[in-house]
Amino acid sequence: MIGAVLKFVLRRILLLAPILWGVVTVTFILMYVIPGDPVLTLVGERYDEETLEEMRRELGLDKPIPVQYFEYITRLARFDLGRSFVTGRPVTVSIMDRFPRTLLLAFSAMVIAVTAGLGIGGLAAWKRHPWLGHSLMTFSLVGVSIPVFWLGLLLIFLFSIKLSLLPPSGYGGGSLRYLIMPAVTLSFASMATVARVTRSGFLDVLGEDYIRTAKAKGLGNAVVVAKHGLRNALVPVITIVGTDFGSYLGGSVLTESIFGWPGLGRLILQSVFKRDFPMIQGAILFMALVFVIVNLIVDLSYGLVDPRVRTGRGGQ
Amino acid sequence: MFMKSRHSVLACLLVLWMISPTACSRHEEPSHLRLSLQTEPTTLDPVYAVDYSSGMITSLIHSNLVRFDPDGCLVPDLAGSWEVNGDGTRYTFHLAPARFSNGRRIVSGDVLYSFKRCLGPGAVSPRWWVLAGLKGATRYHGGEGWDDRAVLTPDDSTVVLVLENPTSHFLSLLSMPAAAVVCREEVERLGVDYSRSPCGGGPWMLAGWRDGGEIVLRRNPYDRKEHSSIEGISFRIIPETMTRIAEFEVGNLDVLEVPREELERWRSAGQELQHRQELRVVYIGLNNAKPPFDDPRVRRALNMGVDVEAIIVHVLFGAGLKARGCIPDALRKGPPPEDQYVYNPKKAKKLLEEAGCADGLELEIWQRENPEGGRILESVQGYLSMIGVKVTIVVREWGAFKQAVDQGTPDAFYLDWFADYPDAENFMAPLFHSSNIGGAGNRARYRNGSVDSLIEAAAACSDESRRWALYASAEEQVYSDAPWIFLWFPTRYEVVSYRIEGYMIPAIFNGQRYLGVTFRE
Amino acid sequence: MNSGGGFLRRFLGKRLALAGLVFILLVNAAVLAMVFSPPAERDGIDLDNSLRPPSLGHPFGTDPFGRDVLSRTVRGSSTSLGVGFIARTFSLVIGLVLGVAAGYFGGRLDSFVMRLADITFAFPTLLLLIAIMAVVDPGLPSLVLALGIVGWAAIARLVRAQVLIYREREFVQAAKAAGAGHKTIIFKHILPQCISPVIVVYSLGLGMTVMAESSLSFLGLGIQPPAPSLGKMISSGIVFMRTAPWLTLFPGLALTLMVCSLNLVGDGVRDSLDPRLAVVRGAGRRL
Repeated sequence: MIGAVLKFVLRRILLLAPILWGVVTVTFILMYVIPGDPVLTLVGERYDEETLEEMRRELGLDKPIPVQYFEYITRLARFDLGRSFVTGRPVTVSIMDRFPRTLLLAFSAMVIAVTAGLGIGGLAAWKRHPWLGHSLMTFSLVGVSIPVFWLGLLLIFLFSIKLSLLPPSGYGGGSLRYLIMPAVTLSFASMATVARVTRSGFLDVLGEDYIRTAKAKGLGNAVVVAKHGLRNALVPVITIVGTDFGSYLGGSVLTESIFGWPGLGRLILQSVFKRDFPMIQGAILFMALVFVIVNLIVDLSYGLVDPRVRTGRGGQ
Repeated sequence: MFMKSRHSVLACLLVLWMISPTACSRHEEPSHLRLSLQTEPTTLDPVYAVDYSSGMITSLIHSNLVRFDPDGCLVPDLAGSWEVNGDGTRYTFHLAPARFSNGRRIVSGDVLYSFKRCLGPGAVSPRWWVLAGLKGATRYHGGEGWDDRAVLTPDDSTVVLVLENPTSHFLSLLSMPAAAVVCREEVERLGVDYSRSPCGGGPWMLAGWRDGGEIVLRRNPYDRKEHSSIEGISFRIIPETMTRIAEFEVGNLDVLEVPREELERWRSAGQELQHRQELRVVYIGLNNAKPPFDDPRVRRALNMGVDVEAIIVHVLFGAGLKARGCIPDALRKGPPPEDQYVYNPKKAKKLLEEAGCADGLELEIWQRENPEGGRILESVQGYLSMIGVKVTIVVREWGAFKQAVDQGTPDAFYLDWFADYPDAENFMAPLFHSSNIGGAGNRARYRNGSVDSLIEAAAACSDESRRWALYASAEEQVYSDAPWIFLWFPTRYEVVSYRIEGYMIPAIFNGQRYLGVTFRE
Repeated sequence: MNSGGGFLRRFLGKRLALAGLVFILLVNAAVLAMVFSPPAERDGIDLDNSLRPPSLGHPFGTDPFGRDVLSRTVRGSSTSLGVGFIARTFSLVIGLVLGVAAGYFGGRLDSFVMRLADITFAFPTLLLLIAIMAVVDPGLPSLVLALGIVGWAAIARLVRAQVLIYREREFVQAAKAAGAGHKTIIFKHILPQCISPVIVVYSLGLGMTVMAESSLSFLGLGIQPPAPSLGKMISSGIVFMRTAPWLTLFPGLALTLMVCSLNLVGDGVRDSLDPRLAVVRGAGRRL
């Protein structure tokens, strides 16, 4: 049994390499066909052709593209992501500066999504009040349909402008006041989905005889219901949490932009606009790596939670 | 089994929560000035600083031979005094005693080292042109030997700069970040990393830089030329306008630039606003080399077809002054030219007819990505459609925009020009001299021999009033040739907290050194 | 097998899905009505009327140019909708072709296509979109292209899985034995089996595609002015949040309603066509 799991893990890890190589290559190709020379954004105003040439030489952009590609891959093999064109700092240092903030945001969002989602979903199933069920369905529908950027603006409008309760954006050295709105915004869609699957998971269980008797005995048996309901809802919840957490770790570009959160997503967006090739490449590679690893962990966790899935899921 | 695993998951989450960089409250220094930056500086190495934030902070940390005060007047910095010889090719500076933030005395050799570094082929400074006027500097930059006659250091406190040709705005150039004096030992010790731990002789030194968060400066302990009650400055990087406003309102910032969309709100709240006309001109450059925009009648018609005054009132909320010509008022020594392009759609149509463009002209205006430009161009688009010109707006982000515009691909482009230093030269030579076509500044590809020679004559002229007269007549020609759709000179509005006094909006980006700012009792 | 009439009956029986459909039709009707109204009223700049709060004449207020926010919102919605449908169709075509090819022919082609899908999945969606939009000239065709490219992988995976199931079924084997060519087998026997899941996935993805489009426009990389787009309207209204909040509130509301409607229609289509298809809505990659 353990051997099978190990084999599965090894196979998946082996498959990661070509995927990451593909990501690097696609990014590389995209960057070199993007119009807009990186040195043009570095040189500022009032420049001449010779200065451009010199800067290109300095950054190694004067070499033929296949050579640049080969050099990049070679450096990558030594885990060297190079230095940023713009700031001259090593790309790894910048990524490691930003990643903890993205992690903090993603993690807080996930905690909110899971706790609130399970709570809301469970409550809606337990109470079986039609009004409650309808509002939950509406909430879950709106939750996945509302654009993040608009939700963020709404929260800013309400809590910062109208009520002056929370700062509209910024990192604020990581203090909680600054974290609340971006985390809630980011968590919203996941929360809605978690609530929905939790409710249906609970509803399936609530129909069972043993639960009916448990429920008839009174609220003290809520634990039993919660336990079985949760177990039933667990696989879909893990799917949601896993994929979403993977995306969030990659830096959620929109949320980070609206709330001025200096995380990875924002770093990439800025780097794209500045044509900071090493930074874009390094950061995208890093994100893709995090994403595929989190997905791998999610797949493995199915096996732990529910032995029936251990065979692995083919083709989704 | 499931409950157990749930507990362990919770425990893991708790640990993660604890190791992640959570709630550490900001350590506020009461004696620190609290300011904000819209963009994070890319470097604090003066020879690489090309953007606003980098240049501004770099100038607080480093010192130059001369600098500009908040009003845009040239004042001594490292050089206590200076003389210029008769033909304007030899500048002698007498250094006042000063020290780097590491305590070492600044001597004339440091000036020589810093200038050579900026010009040197090794550094690849995009701003080497600042010092290109020095004798043999261009050749040195091209890889030849250094000309020992360019910078003379007869003793530790005297520097003599010798120019190839007389350059009347040379002192202005010396105030730019690229001409700052750096500490040789630190540059050589740190190499590339000097950009993040600079060492200069300015009034402030870098105390901390949190990526994407905050830059903290504190007083250079060895700079006691001027006393200041402020011990440090913290620049928080806050790209969002709304956040800056909110932070100011709760008292976390001492100075705030008020966006023009909010002017009315602040005024009606009874706030006292400072304002200053920026040394900046906003324009739509027309591609003067591309038919039919090579015809001055077409270009004049386009100028008359846009109601700039109305746009200033409604879209800019009054925060600007219609540009008659291209030189901001603060740099003029006389009245601006008469308004040649009063809004007149009928006359504009007639001019277009004369030029043979009566049956519909199509114009593609390029714009770099930013929401404000979009609003302005949409109104220009509306006005021009009324004189039969069909405008297409093309938005590209900065790199791609610059590449296309500098190569002269688009018909027209919306852009602005910031002063590098407060001098009329800065609004004439780069923008309209034919030798600067393309990336050097003349993006409209304007070519006029007589304007060229007026600009050249002004550069060589050491008599201030004659020099201005030359620029004024060059500007007049440019204005009537209409290489651009002239738009406006923006006005900047700022509000200052009650905590401080003595602050003033600087005329030039590196004009405010915060030494005159004090805390109220 | 689902007969057309049965599907329609089932779909129409779902009130929520119906409501979504009605909303989408309403938007289109409003656009049609506006096309026939005089053009001056539609996009005229009237600076004297700028930034008026909502009133009877302008229920959504006016923008800084004095243009009616309601009419711009409606037209922006229809643009988003159009882009969503075309882009999704584009994804469908790529996904269908590659999915069938991979599933039917298998072997190296199969693993190549599936690795390509893996790579597409490994990219953060919005960043891939941003990167593509930076390469091509911004504008409608590029937008459709980019959104199409991003969406193909999920469809291809699904189609491939379906093909793998039916390739080995008796009726296909029988057709093969009877000497039918690849073309006949694919078009006559396999493709029809894929139709209902593909329609479900197609409609479930519509909401997300519209959301992606408006996100790009919000970042300034999508639809270009003066064409109204909801994302762009919202982003350029941000500076007016304190003084003219209607500039961001109404377009955002319209966008949310639109995506809601599309999601409802998607759910309705799934429940009526193929309720067993376990696609958890929203469990895709977040933007």
